[in-house]
Amino acid sequence: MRPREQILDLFSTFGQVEVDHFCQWISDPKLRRSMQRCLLEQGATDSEKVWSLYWYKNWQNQNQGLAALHLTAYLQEPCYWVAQKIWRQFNKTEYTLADYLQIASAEVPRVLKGFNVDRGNNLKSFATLLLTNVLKDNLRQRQSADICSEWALLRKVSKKRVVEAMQQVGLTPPEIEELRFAWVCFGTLYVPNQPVLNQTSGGERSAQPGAQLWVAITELYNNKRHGQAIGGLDWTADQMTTRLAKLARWIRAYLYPAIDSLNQAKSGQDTSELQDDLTDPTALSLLDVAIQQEETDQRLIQRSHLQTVLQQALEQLDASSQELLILFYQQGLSQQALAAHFRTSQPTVSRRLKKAEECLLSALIQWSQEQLNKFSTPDELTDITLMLKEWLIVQYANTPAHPRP
Amino acid sequence: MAFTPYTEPTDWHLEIDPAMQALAWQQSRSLPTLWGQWNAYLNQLCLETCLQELRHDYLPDAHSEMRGDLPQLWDGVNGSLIGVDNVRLALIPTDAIDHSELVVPQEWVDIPSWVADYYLAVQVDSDQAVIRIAGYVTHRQLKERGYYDSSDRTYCLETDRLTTDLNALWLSYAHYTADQVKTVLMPLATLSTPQADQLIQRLGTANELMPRLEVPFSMWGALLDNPAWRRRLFQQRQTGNPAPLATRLSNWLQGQFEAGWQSATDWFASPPVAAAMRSAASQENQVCRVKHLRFGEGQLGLMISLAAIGDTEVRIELQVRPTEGTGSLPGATEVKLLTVENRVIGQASATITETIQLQFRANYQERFLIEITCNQETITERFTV
Repeated sequence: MRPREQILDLFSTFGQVEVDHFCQWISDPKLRRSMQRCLLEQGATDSEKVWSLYWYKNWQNQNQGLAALHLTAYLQEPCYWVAQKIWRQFNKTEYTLADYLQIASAEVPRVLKGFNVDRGNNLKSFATLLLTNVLKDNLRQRQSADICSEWALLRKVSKKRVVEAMQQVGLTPPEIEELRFAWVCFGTLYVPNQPVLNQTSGGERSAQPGAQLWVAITELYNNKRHGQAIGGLDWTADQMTTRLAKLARWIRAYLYPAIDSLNQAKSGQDTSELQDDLTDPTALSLLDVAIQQEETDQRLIQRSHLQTVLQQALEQLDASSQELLILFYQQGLSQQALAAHFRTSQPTVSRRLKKAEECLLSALIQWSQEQLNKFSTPDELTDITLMLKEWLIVQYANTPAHPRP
Repeated sequence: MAFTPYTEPTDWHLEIDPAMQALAWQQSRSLPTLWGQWNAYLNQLCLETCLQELRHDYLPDAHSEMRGDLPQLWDGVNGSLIGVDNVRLALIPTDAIDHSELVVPQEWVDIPSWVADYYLAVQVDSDQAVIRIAGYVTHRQLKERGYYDSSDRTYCLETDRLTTDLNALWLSYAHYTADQVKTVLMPLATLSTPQADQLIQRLGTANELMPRLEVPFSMWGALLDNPAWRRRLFQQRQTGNPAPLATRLSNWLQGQFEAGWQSATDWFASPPVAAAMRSAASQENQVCRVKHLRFGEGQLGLMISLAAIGDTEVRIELQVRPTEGTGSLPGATEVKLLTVENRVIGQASATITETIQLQFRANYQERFLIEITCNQETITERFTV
């Protein structure tokens, strides 16, 4: 893949991947027009950072689709690297590189939500960090969901996802309240009856809920709903069964859609639905953003000190810890491969890597303590841990757009 | 190999020991409700695995807190507590396959004797026998950044907002004052003893499947804040019987004894004990009875001697001592004498080979509790003079 260079391309093109290799950059006409207009109106700075901040600030202001799409286009490289890394690591799964790229692109909103511009961090390295975890998590979940029956799945999803799935299909708030409470009653009575999944009996360990259980769930619902301020009428056991079955289907469709039907809008390919008039009167001006950028530049100076600190701490690690960091962050070796390389167990590799990172984090905390004359607050500490992770990624990345400092 | 292919070496993945897993399943079967059994199973996997790892690598002094309440407490509430130095970490497990949110029951956030400084989000995959600590958050961050869900009385925070690098926790926890990590608690009600009795009566049955949502949180929280009350509650849920009522000591002076209190001569057959007992019993008007209390595999004897002093007072002497043939207590033992409001008025402890004696006077109708802790198990006996 040849990374893009022109500002116009960066914010209006998407990577096209055939099954297992990168093909080309495809321009999205609507995004291109929007970007051309902005370049014309806002003055043509060629700072990629200022433009990404510009769209990020607009996304924050409006949470609008357009800014998210421009940023999804902008983050295509990290999406691609992460997809490629995961694909290489798990090439035995049924998914292709194109599938992974699509999942990664669809998760860009989560990157935007988690990004903290005031930290003065880099959106691309943050995206790489978060998407790696998100993508693996997504795969892990899909794998677990695949072997769950509808009823098992229903009791193994979080409250948040249950509510989101109901919102997605357009239930009204009172309907959501009722069904959510029915789901709670279900989870109170329908629990596994074996300690581990029984592989021999086809991956089921809870009996299918029988008529008696449905009656018990329904009774619980009808008895308790008043205390929980749940309106509506009493339910029958049949209604309970049908409604929860429907909920299970919604959850599967919402959480684990077939990959080829992933919402295309998220990956920016059907922007035709957007209004052609893309100007936004409330949008921030590029000048405002440029001023903010200067403030962040102050932080960048601090970051360069910080890099010196980390570099020194890194050099003080023993040779094998340094090798471990290189093999993991630069070569992208999996835990299994690392264990094989060092002829040790996976937990040992994991422990040693964490210990190495603990030394670096400790140096970083000490440095910031000297700077601030006090120990970092818990919030600041969280930022410091993210700084370290991002630094490790940038430090060891060998891809062109992540040059070694 | 229990490690899933999706595990990064930087993830906080821990393997569950198979023998412990089998034991946890077996022990969880003792709980009275289906939900409680499953909850106890997950929590025990979570607690034992985390505790072992933390002790081994990061926090050698870590220990389980409120051990005496486990596993019964898991019939009502999800989560457990680890103490290290003066800091408390709450472990909040979930078996949801999507780990989108940390959901902390309000009990761990707003009850003064339960509240933690840090909350660890733990994903338990019992099928793969692994757990993953997804991250942590302070009490203050949870209350300030998360939201309160009144429908299930939990504080919730998106997983993406947790601090995922646990190294930060080891490196920092000793540096913070309680004020930096904790914020204000929701006030609880003040319960009178009859109110507490009533609540225990109402909620102390396994037919009540959602006890924590049944009464306003300020009352539920106040009930659970009191160790004696919450133990009675969960004991009653488990046994299906009301917890034993207070032993009425003044009846002893009339020659009436509750079941379980045996004549001291039946019990302490070994000569020195028998001699001591005889000398005590030889005093005029003195009554002496013994109850046998089981702690894990072992047992000990609680002996109460009682003598009237005038018309209004009694002198009470209690002894905790090894039972016949053993010559030693099941483990180091601590005895507390408490008021019904749970204020400690007397306290003593003993190593395995010693006995404990406490002597005090009490008025007729006065009530007190004796709490004996041995091998991390606690038994409470209630008395009315």
